[in-house]
Amino acid sequence: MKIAFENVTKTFSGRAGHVLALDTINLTIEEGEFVCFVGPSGCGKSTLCNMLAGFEKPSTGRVTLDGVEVSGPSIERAMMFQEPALFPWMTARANVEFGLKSLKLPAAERQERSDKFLKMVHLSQFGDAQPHELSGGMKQRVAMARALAVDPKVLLMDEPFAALDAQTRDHLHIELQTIWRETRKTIVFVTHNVREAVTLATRVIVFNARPGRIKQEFDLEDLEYPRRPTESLVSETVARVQSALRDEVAKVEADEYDDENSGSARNGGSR
Amino acid sequence: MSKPNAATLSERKRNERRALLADVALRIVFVFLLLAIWQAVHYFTVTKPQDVSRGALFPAPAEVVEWLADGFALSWFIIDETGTRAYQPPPGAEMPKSFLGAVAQSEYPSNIGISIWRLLQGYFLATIVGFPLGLWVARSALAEKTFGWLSVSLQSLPSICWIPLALLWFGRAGVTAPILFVTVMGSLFATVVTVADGIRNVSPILARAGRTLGASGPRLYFSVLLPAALPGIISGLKVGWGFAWRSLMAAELIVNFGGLGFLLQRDREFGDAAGVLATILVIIVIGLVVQSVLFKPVERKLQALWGLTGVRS
Repeated sequence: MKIAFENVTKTFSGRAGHVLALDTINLTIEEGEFVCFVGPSGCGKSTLCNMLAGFEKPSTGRVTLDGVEVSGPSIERAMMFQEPALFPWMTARANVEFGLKSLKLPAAERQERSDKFLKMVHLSQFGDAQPHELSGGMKQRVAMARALAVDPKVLLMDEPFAALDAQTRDHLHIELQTIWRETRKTIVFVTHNVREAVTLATRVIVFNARPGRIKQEFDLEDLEYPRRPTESLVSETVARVQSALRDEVAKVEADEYDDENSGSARNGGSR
Repeated sequence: MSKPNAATLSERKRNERRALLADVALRIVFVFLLLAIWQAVHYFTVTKPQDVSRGALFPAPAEVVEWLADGFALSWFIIDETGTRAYQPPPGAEMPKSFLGAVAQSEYPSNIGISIWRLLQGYFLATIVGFPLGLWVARSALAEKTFGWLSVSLQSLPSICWIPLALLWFGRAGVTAPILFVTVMGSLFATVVTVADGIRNVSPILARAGRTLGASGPRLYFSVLLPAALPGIISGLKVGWGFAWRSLMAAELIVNFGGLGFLLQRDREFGDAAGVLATILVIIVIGLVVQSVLFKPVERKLQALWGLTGVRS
């Protein structure tokens, strides 16, 4: 399994004219990697993830999975969103089995797999619950089980924990690390949170803003799991990645806060 | 998930019941107050003795109740001192032997039957055309720009405006055809617009979730979009029903052949305000009953299933 972004650009046309959101992205992701895209808002990291999911098309260049160009959404590239996006009329279990029905698995096997993945996210007791009976963190865990159950070639996660409170997020980081170490599923994870990226990923890719470009890559293969943000090695790495990101965040701020005070930030930017 | 324990649950139920009782009590007091005001107005407006009759312009509440009792043949139960029944069969008909026989030939049940039957036909036609049109308008940009636009425009036309055309086109085909035409026209476009809105309001993230889990084409439509739109669709069908009912009453008033609208018109012609008021009450009650028997339970079921927050997950 191999994912490749080849000379990918994306231009958005709006009232202000054309905006180059992504500029010549070249990137390959190998089987079993846990890759985090980190960058300031508007750097195109989510757009890149959406292209891999098949929800958006590159303006030029191409995205391939095993050499085949991505042309639309597919169960091979199951995606998780910032919202759980559970089907509210279905139980947690029916949600997990939704994708298994797409795979045309017999009922017995669907049951077996939904058992397995509900157990993996520690929700065995809640298979019969409706989504509205679950907390935000539990809903997101059901969504994770739903995406993992279809055994996708790559799991795409677009800021899946951004809307959760800090404690729940920490729990889910530990849970996701465990799941990844058990399954070695290829994961592409989008976040603006450096600490989250360093806690989870084997490789962190930092993006430039406007236009979105890959600024720097951090290979974290050697950082041992399970990682906790309090460990000194982890926090040192966070500091390293953060300093790479700092200029970019300042640049975006200077653009968005269009006033005198941001003048210094604007001058300090790399533009 | 916070599981409320049994004590707080029963306490909550008790509180709910108490609130409901208070509500009912408040309404009873309110209705009594209205009746008292009504009675007072009647008392002060009736001056001449000949006004105190069925023909009074401002009848007492009791007269309306009497009219209702007659209309439903309830007076069949009342026997006066001479041993004759208070119930008066229609001219030419014999005194029925049983209460049910009296009901069958009495005014309200037979005319309610006529109106409901017309409503069902008109609503069925409007829904069978409007519902798929609504689905199509929600899904296709072409349909949205053509039929969607047309429906929004025609929906703004008060349905009573269709009556002259209905009489011109279908007047010779009997009385049912023009009435049905008005009912369908009154309900169809509202159904299209609300059903389309219901589907369009489905959170796009649910469609994306469905697609990334391998659903496309009919499966995406029938197992994701349609269920997600169900609350909106139900409210579309409810709005369509409301419009059909209003249009039907308007049409019956003018076409003037059977049904509750006909009763309103007939009693106006006889100067019988009590009759008009009684028929208005019947129309209100039918509306409320259909609302609470047909649509409320479905809505409540959906709300329970979805959580009270609607379609957001």
